[in-house]
Amino acid sequence: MRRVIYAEWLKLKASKIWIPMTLLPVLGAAVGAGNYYANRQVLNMPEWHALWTQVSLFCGYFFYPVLMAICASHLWKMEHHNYNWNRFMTMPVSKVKLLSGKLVLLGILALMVQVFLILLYWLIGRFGFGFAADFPLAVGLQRLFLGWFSALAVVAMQFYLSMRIRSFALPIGMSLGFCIVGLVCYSLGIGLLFPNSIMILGFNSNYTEAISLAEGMSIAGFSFIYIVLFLLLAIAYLRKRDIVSC
Amino acid sequence: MKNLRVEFAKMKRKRIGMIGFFLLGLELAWSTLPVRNLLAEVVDNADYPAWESVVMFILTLKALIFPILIAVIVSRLNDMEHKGNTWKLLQSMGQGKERIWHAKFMAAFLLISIFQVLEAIYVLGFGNYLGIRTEVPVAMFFKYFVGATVINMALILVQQWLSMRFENQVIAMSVGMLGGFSGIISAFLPAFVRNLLIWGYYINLTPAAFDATGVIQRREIGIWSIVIALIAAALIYAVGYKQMKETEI
Repeated sequence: MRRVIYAEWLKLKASKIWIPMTLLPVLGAAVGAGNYYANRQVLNMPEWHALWTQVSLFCGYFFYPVLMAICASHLWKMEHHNYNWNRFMTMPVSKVKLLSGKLVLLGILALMVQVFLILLYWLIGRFGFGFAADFPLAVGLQRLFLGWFSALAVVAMQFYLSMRIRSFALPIGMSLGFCIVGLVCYSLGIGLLFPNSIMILGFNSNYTEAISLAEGMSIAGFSFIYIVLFLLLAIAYLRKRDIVSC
Repeated sequence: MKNLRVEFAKMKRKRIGMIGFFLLGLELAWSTLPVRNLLAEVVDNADYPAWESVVMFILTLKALIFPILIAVIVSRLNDMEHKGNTWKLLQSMGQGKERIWHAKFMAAFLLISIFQVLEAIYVLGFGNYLGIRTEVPVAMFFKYFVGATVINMALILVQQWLSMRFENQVIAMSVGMLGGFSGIISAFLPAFVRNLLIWGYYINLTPAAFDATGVIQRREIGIWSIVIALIAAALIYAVGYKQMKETEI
């Protein structure tokens, strides 16, 4: 398994994926910081919480899911090119391992983005606005890990779509549409039923309190269900369908 | 004309129309909800900028969705040539890259224009459905439609240059994404910053805006945004055409 992940990592070498992985979180954090600065008088809550509500708002709703769609499309692009599906399907490694390896690597990329976002949040708060209060470490860690784990539901969905759809751009366009569907589900109070709205819940952009253990467990649980579901769908697809290489 | 027909033939079974309808549908649905609630009680008021409000909400969401829709469609049109390594094949059949540049631009522009027309029809239909009593302000509607079409054209050319120039579509899609996000964010930026970003020009076309007290007020659409977008489109077209003509495949 480790070798599969390493092989996938090698495929990313010299790719341009770091461009969106850097620029989109920076843009999201910058917009959030600007929004916080403009509305700081009306945000009646501790400053670190107030900053997070603004920084994570655009990221959780739009930037992060679309960025994950770009990463997923990029990872599958290799297999859709140069008859690489033939190599992929004839490798002496089980399909479960191959697919899990790709999904784990996508999860690692998502974690890198989440760590970068939290780092930007800390830098903006500490040095940009010079907050006097200490960084809320426990809540920060919750935002890091729960935000990341809830994002894995979106990652798994995009992973499956990018595997099925040979186009690079189409799953990315669809991901923007899913962001809007996610927002609708979230506002209707059925956030746990759709991957993008699970991510919105996990990012906890609209509330100042930390997510309770029970809520966190249900968010993580539903995210896990989606991860397993899309992985199983991908495995079933490769096992049952005749893959046409091109 | 033949080249254009060929481009449309290449689009068959590529699900390009599907993604267009999907994103346009979401844009219109998303903008419908706030407008319906907002205008429910004021449609009878002839002084209220009702038509302007409908166009304002649609243009605000358009600034997010259209740059990405354009990036997806243009990338799809060009990626098939990169993937199939067909540039040489096309050239050997007498289709130089500059001809393909023109044909692909025309194909993407026609396709996006279909969505633009559908959007404009929706604006009219939705306004009538809401029961807005005033006549459609023709000058405002004309500026919105022509302006949006010209900005679409400029964005198609930006995306086409990127998608043709770089085989790796990550670059073109990243620019499309950043463009879409900067487009909607530009609604909150000062005008001088917005004017530097072509993606923010959709916001410049809005015929109404919230004032400091949160009330929607009419505002004049500056025609200069349309002129700048048109000049930008002409320049990118000319540069792209020249570059494609001189590129050795």
